[in-house]
Amino acid sequence: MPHWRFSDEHEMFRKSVRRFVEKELSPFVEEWEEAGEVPEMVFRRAGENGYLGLKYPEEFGGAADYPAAAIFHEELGRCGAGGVAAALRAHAEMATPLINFLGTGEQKERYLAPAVQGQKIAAPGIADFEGGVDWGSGSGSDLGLGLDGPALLPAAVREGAHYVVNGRILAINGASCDFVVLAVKDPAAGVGNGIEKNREAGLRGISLLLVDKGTPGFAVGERRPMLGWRSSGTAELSFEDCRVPAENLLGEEKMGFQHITANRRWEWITLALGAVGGAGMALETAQKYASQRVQFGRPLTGFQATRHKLAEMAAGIEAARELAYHALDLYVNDVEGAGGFDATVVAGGMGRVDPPVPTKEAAMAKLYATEVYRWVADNAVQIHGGYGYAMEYPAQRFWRDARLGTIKEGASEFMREAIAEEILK
Amino acid sequence: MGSRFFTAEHEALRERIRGFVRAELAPHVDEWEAREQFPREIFKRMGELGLLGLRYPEEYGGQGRDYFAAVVLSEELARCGIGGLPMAVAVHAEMATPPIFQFGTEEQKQRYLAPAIRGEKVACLGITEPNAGSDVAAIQTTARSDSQPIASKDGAGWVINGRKIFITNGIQADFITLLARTESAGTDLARTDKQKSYDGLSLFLVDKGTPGFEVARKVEKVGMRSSDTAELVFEDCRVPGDALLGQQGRGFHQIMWELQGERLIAAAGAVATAGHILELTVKYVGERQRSGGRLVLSQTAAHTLAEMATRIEAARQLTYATAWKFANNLYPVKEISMAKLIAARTAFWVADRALEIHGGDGCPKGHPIERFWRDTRLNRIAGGTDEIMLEIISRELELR
Ligand SMILES: Cc1cc2nc3c(=O)[nH]c(=O)nc-3n(C[C@H](O)[C@H](O)[C@H](O)COP(=O)(O)OP(=O)(O)OC[C@H]3O[C@@H](n4cnc5c(N)ncnc54)[C@H](O)[C@@H]3O)c2cc1C
Ligand SMILES: Cc1cc2nc3c(=O)[nH]c(=O)nc-3n(C[C@H](O)[C@H](O)[C@H](O)COP(=O)(O)OP(=O)(O)OC[C@H]3O[C@@H](n4cnc5c(N)ncnc54)[C@H](O)[C@@H]3O)c2cc1C
Repeated sequence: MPHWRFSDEHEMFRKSVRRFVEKELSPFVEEWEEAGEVPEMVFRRAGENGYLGLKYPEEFGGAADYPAAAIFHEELGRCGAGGVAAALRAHAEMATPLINFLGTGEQKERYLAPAVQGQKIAAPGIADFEGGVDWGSGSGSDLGLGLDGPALLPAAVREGAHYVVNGRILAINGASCDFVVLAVKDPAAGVGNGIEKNREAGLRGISLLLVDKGTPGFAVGERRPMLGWRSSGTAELSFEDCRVPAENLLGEEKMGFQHITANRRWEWITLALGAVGGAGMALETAQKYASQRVQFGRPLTGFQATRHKLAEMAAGIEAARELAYHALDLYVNDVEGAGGFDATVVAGGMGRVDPPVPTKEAAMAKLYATEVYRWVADNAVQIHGGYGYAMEYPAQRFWRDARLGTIKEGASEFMREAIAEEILK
Repeated sequence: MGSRFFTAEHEALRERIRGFVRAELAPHVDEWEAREQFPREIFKRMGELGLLGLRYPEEYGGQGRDYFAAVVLSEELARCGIGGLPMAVAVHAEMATPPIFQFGTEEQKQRYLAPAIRGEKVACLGITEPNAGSDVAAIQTTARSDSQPIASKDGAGWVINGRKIFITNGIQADFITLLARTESAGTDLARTDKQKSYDGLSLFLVDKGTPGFEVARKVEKVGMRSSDTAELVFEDCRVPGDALLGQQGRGFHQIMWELQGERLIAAAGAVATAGHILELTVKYVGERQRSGGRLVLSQTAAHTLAEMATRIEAARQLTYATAWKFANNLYPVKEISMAKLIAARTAFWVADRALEIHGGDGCPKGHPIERFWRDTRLNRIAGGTDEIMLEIISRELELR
């Protein structure tokens, strides 16, 4: 059925992505979950199909088509493994957009172009999720970096024509990446260890570097399996006196926090749509199971308790989807209105992003969709009874994968803070 | 705190178990989770310590204590850090063996109950089948009277055929307390009407190693990984007449009786686990605050912790009050179902909020919080799902 936000071409595009997901991803997700990562081939294939550069200018294989990119992530969410979706999303929507906004011509040639083609895999080394908890006043200004976030980032010191990097960070695609978009701190800029002023200073000391795999001193440590997103290749990256050429600085020095922040809304919108896609699959799986499983002489769909559960799951997903589309629409309008995305537009105050980028709606979409998915997947497990607990059924994976959504990239509490800040203005 | 339910003796027992859990269980749980099995010697050791027969009489090697001793055990085991082992112990001591004590002959008690109390024989309980979970009366495993019975005192015998799934301890068990259909051979064993199916079931005690009784496979689960779960098959498995436990045709009623104790002890375990998770979370928050140099907890975090404590206390008090009735030989089906429902939901909710509070810190595979999150989810499924509890409660309230 036509939708107000999407053209006929978009609908056709959706169909072709769905075919790709059904044919080239879904049948293999078990294998990749087991392996803990997505094979390079998947990035290649996604690149060949143009999925990794949809929102970039033509010279980088795209058509500045944000809605198409959004469709891609919604459909990708249906592949059956949050880790596969996370790997492609981390590459295409967390790491490479920063190069597109901020990169020099040469950086774009060296990193963005091959990444868009799926020839090079990017890892976002942006937030250390072992970082601290802002248990304080909850001012919600650190955008999911966590209280110790800047303190725990690798440190970079300028030495002549190089930055010397020391430290470690966890990142999706860490295991298989060719390069990492790395947030580093200026060790002189206050380590933000708890005291508000220091933290703010710490945030002001963040810069972004492009670091190639193979640079001496850059090592990929152990893969770190998580509760969910097992195929995401999440691994620890470590840097020991790693000398990164100064020309690999991405954007402005010490503006890293603002740069990252500038892309957060887009991350939230795509994460929200991935959750919508995942929730849709969880619902379909539960629905199918419920109509086949017979207890007390009838299919589970014959019990009002089950029927109402399924109905509410469907309603939640529908609302989450439309809210995410709304946030997408505002985002696209603002980007177009600004004549293309310019990171400087949003480099306002510390962590506070000024309009025109719609913070409130993107945060709402992220909050609502990930919470809906968490709850939908929980219901899917319940509807499967004991089989929901068995590894051979997919329900448990939806459930584990969904659980990361409300924690990742700014937890739900953080989203609520961001929304409250805006509506109470 | 001064409790109406626990005496000084209970508290001494609590201390003893706590020491055992701290010294002999907690240090090994990570390894057992990874291996997807805790060692069998744990049963032996717990048998030696008298922990597997707390409320069984001394003549079978039990401790002759009351029901609250069993509650103390489940509360303390919850502190070992995983859900799988406490569940396996509960299945052994509070689910698979009570029917033997309640319905068994003296010989059966000596042969199965006494060694189970000593931890020499491990027990499992077989109700669930591929096609019958919530609907217990729909089980299809059959026990037909044997036309050529194997040697037994009474000259009778049974031939068992069927499949059981999700059987806790199924891999390492030495025997199974089994629910099977015993309508007379020749009649259609498929369910025709309700009454017939309720009356056509019986309990059996079947030894592992009996020809025709095999472990089909181990079921891999998302949580409770240290506890083994099996699918079991019976193919023309011949057992003697005295394998029948209790009265023929009363199996459904006997298992409904068993399920009351099962659900109550599950409620106690769930509440205790929730309490343990809350403790861990308060500790975590305290440490993070100290390292962050902040003294004021955010309101959201404080309110979440406060609500955890409140829900746990409510579930605990309902469980205790219900346990008191149960201990006094009442049969409070409605309250047991309510306690099981609330305790299961609370345990998982507390684990879920604890994970949210731990954020990225709680997510690495094997972190105690993500593990409790996976483990506690089972409480809302096994031993009767949330929906089945609501179904029973509505029937008890005469709503349907
Ligand atoms: C599997 C996985 C993969 C990841 N991959 C990447 C990656 O590739 N690249 C990357 O850059 N990042 C990655 N992350 C990091 C992720 O974005 C962070 O985990 C997330 O932003 C949360 O940060 P945090 O863990 O430091 O917790 P915090 O944001 O510090 O929060 C921890 C907890 O405290 C709560 N909380 C915080 N503040 C308050 C408050 N004021 N009031 C009430 N409650 C509060 C939060 O809701 C949460 O429950 C990943 C995380 C996971 C789990
Ligand atoms: C780890 C684990 C250990 C277990 N250990 C044992 C064991 O040791 N021994 C044993 O016998 N069993 C065991 N079980 C089985 C467990 O008791 C069953 O899984 C449980 O009773 C549910 O049955 P089911 O899985 O067949 O789900 P189903 O009965 O198929 O239920 C599926 C869904 O439908 C719902 N539903 C069913 N009927 C109704 C209704 N009338 N109205 C509304 N909703 C309804 C249920 O609530 C559930 O959400 C174990 C299970 C697991 C996962």
